[in-house]
Amino acid sequence: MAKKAFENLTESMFYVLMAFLHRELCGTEIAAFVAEKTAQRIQLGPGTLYTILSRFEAEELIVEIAVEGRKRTYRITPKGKELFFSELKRLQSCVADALEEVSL
Amino acid sequence: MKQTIRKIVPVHMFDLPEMETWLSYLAAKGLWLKKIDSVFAVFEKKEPASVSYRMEPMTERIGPPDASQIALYEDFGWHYVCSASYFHFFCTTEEHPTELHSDPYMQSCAFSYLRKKMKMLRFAAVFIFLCLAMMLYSVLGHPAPMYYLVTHGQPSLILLSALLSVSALFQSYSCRKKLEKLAHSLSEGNPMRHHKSYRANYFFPISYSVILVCSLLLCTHSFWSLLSKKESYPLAEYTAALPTIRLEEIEQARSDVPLPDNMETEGMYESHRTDLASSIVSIDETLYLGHETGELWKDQSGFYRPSLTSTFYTLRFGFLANALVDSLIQKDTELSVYEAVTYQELFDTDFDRAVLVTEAEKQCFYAVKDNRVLALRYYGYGNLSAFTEELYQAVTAYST
Repeated sequence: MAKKAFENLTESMFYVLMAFLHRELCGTEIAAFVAEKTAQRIQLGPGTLYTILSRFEAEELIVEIAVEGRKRTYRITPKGKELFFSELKRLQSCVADALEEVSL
Repeated sequence: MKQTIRKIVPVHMFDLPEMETWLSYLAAKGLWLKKIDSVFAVFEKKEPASVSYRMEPMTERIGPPDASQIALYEDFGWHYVCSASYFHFFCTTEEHPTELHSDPYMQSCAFSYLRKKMKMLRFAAVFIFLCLAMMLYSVLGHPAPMYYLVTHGQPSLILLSALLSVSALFQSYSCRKKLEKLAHSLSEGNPMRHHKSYRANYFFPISYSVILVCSLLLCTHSFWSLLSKKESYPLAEYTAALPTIRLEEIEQARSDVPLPDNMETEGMYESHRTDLASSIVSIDETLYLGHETGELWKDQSGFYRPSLTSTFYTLRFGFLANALVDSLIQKDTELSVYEAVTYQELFDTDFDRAVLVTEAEKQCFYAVKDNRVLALRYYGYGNLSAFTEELYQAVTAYST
């Protein structure tokens, strides 16, 4: 799960952006989504999640939309979606190259 | 009433795995962390338990984490304990808790604020070091360094700057080294270890404590020195005993004729203290003798007007006395390039050391007795060396 696995986003960052595509979420809901989506392969820790959310918010990839008690809910921004889809395209291209090489 | 126990921290704060292991070890003995700093940790006595501790670097500012961070961590079973020395401490009693960090690269990003802080500490250390260099230059660049240090210098400030700069440089270096190693390993994708055997090392807490106590003492001392006023009176108003002889005595000894009664005189008494001298008393006297008697200076430059400046130092450290005398001689003769200067060590006195320096109509007398130094600068035609016995009596009888 090293940084080199992704050019711009780490695997955790990519999945966090993915979680926001169709819904607004708080921290624990993001962790639950990622765990379910990856069949428990990736279990985001609160430290990692908090660091990612802070960084995404600072880079305006997500925006805070509600605070209930101590729970914060976020929504993805157009900039966040753009970054997600450009990363997706890059990954698709990687996978396509790999499949082509494997099928030779 | 909850029972608390204070312990010296035997692990460097930036050795994260060792610190977490030490805290878990104590929790297993029933000592649960309550608060901590670089020197002491306070524990609450509870039931012994298997507790995992994790240290999270502060990411935006110095202070406790915000409520949303605490809430998020609590959702995963991690409870906030305290914050200290750029770290937040969390703990959990779950047997298999979700690790705080599942992505080592993101964990390395969490250290970026801490790395900036360490860089600032290094800049602060360099700044203090420059201040220290300037202070040292002002002392060592003076023609008579010991005289400057005793009368004007503030060795306590120099010592404080040296202590702080060395400590800040050492701390920034050691912390940065540990931090860089950890952050580099994490950015390479290696998860952090949370259990590591530690060896108790009390060097850091003890040295931190010593530096802190010394800095506080030196700060207090410097502040106190700033507050201490210089006392100054016209000599005519000062009636107590002086640690020197009067100019009139020297001049009277020149002739059998009594000095005129209505002679105009000037005189000032000043005293102050410095870091190296518990008291520096300075007495300036001038007699307008020639104005009454018509006597002129030998070079016919004007009426004879003798003067005497006596400075009496009570040093805090006796071993500085001889160095101060050498320095005073250096200062008083540094401009004597046109006149012949004679130095004479006077051995037939009761002083520990006595030196007479003569240059035309200027005579300087320097004497040491224990931690006391007397320096006389006399312009006139009297003979200063004839008064060594009186000077000795005045010095030994004088009490500050």
